[in-house]
Amino acid sequence: MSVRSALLVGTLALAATASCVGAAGGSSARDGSADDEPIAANPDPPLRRLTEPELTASLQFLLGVGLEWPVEADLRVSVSTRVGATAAVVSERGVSDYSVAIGLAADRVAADPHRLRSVLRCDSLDDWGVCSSHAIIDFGALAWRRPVDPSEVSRYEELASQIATDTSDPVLRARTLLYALLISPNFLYRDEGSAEAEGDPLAPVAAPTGQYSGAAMASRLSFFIWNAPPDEPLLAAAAAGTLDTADGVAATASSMLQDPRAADGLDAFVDELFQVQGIASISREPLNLIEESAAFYIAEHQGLSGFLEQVRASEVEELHRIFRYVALDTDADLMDVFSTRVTFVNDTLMRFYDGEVDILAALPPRAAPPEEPERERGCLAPIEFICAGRDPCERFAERYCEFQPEQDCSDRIWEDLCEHQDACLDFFAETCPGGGHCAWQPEFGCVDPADGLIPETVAYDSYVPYGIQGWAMAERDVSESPRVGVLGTLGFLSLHGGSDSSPTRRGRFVLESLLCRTVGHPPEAALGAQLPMNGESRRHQHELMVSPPDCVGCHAEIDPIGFALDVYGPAGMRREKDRFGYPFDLSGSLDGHDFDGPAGLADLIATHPDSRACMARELFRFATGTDDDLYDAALDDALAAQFDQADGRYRRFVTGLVSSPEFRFRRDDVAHTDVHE
Amino acid sequence: MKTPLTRRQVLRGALGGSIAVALPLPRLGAWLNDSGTAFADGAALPKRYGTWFFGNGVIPSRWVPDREGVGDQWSLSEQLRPLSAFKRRLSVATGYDLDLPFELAHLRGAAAVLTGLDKQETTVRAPSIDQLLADRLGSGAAFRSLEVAVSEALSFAGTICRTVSHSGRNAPNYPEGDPNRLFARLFGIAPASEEMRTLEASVLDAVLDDLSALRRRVGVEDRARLEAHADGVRAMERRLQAMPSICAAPDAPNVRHPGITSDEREEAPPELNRVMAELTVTALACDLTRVFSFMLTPPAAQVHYRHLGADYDASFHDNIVHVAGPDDDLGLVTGGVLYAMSCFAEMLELMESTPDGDGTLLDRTVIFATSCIGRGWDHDFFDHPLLFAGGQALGHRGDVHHRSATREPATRGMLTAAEMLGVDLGPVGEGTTYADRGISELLRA
Repeated sequence: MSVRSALLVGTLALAATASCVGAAGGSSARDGSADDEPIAANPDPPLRRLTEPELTASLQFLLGVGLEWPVEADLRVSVSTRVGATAAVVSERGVSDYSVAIGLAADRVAADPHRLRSVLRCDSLDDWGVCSSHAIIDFGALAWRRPVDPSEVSRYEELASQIATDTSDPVLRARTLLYALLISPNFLYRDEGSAEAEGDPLAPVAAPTGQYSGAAMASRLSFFIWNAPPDEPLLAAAAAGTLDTADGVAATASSMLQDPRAADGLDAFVDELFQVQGIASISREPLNLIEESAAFYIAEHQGLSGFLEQVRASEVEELHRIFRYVALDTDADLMDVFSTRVTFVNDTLMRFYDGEVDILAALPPRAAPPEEPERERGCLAPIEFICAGRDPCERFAERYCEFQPEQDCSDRIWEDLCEHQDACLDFFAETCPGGGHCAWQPEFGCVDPADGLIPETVAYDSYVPYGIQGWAMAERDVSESPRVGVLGTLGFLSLHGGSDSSPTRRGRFVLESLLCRTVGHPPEAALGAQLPMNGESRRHQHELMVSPPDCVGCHAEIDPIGFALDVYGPAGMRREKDRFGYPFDLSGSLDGHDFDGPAGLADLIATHPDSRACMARELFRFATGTDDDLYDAALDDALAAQFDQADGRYRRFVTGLVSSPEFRFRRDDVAHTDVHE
Repeated sequence: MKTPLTRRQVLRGALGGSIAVALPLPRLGAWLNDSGTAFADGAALPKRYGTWFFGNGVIPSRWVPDREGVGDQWSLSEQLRPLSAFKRRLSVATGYDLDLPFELAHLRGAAAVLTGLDKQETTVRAPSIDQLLADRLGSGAAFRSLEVAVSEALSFAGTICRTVSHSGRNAPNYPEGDPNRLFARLFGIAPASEEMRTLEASVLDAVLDDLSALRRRVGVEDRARLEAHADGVRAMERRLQAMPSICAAPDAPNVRHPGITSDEREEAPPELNRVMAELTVTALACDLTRVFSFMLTPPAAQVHYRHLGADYDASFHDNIVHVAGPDDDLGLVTGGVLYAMSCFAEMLELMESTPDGDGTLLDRTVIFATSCIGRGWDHDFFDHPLLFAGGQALGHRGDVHHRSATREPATRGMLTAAEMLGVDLGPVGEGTTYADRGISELLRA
């Protein structure tokens, strides 16, 4: 443990008493059952590899296309890809994957010379000298998120002449230059650390103050707030010196937070906070399904894999929507995500929430399933169905029309695209690029039962008993329901409960990720521990199982949090009795505060000072990639104070955060330089 | 002659999941000298190495053969029986230990047996054996090493559970788990025309220039990261020159994989094992690579062996191994180990039936098969499974069961594999995992 992290003890651990739970930080900050390598925090000024979402967003922004070939998986350090990005070493295969993915993206742009010209800022591909110059200087600056240095310009001009020697095909020339600029490390990595050496105009950090350059700030802001690269106006602001002052940064951030892209940044934060990548590996063991009566749905809809994909995507979307509602739509205290009585559902989620009268009451009556599902060739639904509410998709649609000005961007386009299966799949692959929530959509977008692509899912898709189809998430007031905030969502409950809706796993996630505490590892005696099967309630049996002295210290703190949520099964569905037929005991306490059931727990988390401080730290970690090891009391206190000053309001907190020295100056230099203006 | 697939068709096929895998037959004969013992130009035939990995360990009381010895002196144990056709090609080392702390034992065991060193959090601290050997054996082939996985049923999300191949800390070499993409990697990525190759070479030069310019500006650790990136770019340059391989181009399909969805990735069905093994063996036969790692299931795999019957519709790690008891009275763990060994036997059979010079591919390939733990049930590191197959034209004696009388470190396994290939890696490990020599009983005199 470093000296700095040793100082941390006693800061966030306001009320952590038992031996097993401590403040985050130090050498075992996060449990190994997640992904963590806190030791691996890069002590040097970080070179940050673009994460997969950042790369995807960058290609979308620059080219209007998505990833068609997977790139190397992001490294997670302390469960964060943002921290992992400072330490990841790319493999030989990973380098080749970049080349394939970017090559395919460049091919796709090059398939349309109009688009290629527009991307590269070339009036004419035939005038290679002028075109390549624009490509290098103008497109290069956008792709590399900073001005291209004259020495780089001349090197790339040499490459452009070499390319002209290698081929006489103007489209291939342009495609190759585009490809070269994007497999450059200047695109694939964000250099946010190298200090100014003499005569190095590219240094992202000024010596000796450690202040980030305007271009570096533009990237830091945009990948934090938008989860996307800086656009031209932002880079122009950087060049004009706007980002060199705290006021300029605050004003810029403030307007960025009003941009629709702010939702993408917030979504990405939610994905990291809740570790939603794990949703793809949630087990579908019969235990879960039978226990929660979901088998019915599975049997009803033969296309099992597609169904589960849609469930997962919808669950993640619900989490996103709650955060957006609190942070952006209503500008409320971010901690309200735990206590809000508003949620967002679609028909897929309602299949699981079904039976909960309190939620159902707010819905139209359930429709009867269609006797014969509609099976027509072509698109089943217009863009609203595919991407309703999905800002990136909508923006792509606009962009697509920019590139195709001769076409009118109406429903007819979607119909045209669907004339041919390939074109349709291509379109959806582009619209909803690899991974994330849209990966399954090509299967749902266009269906041709004649070729047997996915006939079963037609029936599924056209059966919309509650009238909230596809992505159209509907806002629902759940005041009368015990489901409160994000801890009551299917997504959270299924992500962090395991196949047995483990109170320990759920409790542990709350302690580690929402209260920023460390939880110890189980002792050797824990292995193979089994419920005694003595006929008592599950909670009694569980408590008996963890009663040995080696176990009970930790479990007494962890498990009550999970037991408060025990009314929800492994997939998050409500249940009335435990698996042994007993009613639930949902009572417990945290730091001396009693709660009883999900609503009580949620309200406690929403108001707990540690959870506020933890939310501030999680946001800072997401923003900067700073690993748990590198926090100290001063930083944590500053973050918590800033969060309180902002009344927990996301926009206000983020604006304050990014204009603070902690964000504008390199970490080491903040500690050693008087940077307050 | 069939129209060859274009690069884009191959890649798009891989994305669509509908491409049929076509296995080419290597045309080695034309490239060899008259006796088939070397290439026509006199160069020696390549030596090859593979790590073959299965998660969750074994049940030692049913894994360890009854008797020690050579040839008829020993016979296969219950859990090794699927390998009976290859007994002469096989060595088993038992009684070896890692003796590491209990916590996160599957990760520790996997890290130590493959790298020599215990884990640090959820990453390794040293390169794994396949990468150490790739440094010695890999040059000259298009791919320095090949990483393949059948199941990606993870328990823990750190690098150790995602791959058994590491170039060092935070430098995992993730395996390919999709047969269509694996096919595309092997046969579809290379630029299709001379013109594209020339252009690619020009671009890669520029990328290397950018890398060295950036390298001059960053700190020490980041410099090493960029150097690894540059290694990857140089490997691409090498492949531009190395292609085409000594194989005929892929032709008519003889295997059609139905495609795997994300829900099925937690399984390790026999058809998937078969197609991944075929592609791996093809890559070796075509000399596209000389080093591979094949991960049937990851460390602590939550794999579901559903094809083995209703009893297996459960996480193998959570709900079968850890509730099995010391001797696996219900036999469910044994069923899983038997399945793993039958998958291993399938790979050996493919190698045995692939000609290589005057012998078979198996003669000149050393395979080190191991797992993440000895007895998974209670995380007992003792009797960590160590199996060696093939390489009889190299330094592997074969048909030996050797049992350590003194619980020597299981890290001697990796050194043994290296010694079979004539490579001296020097000492590995530290403390209870320190080893400075292989197991000489398994080596040819």
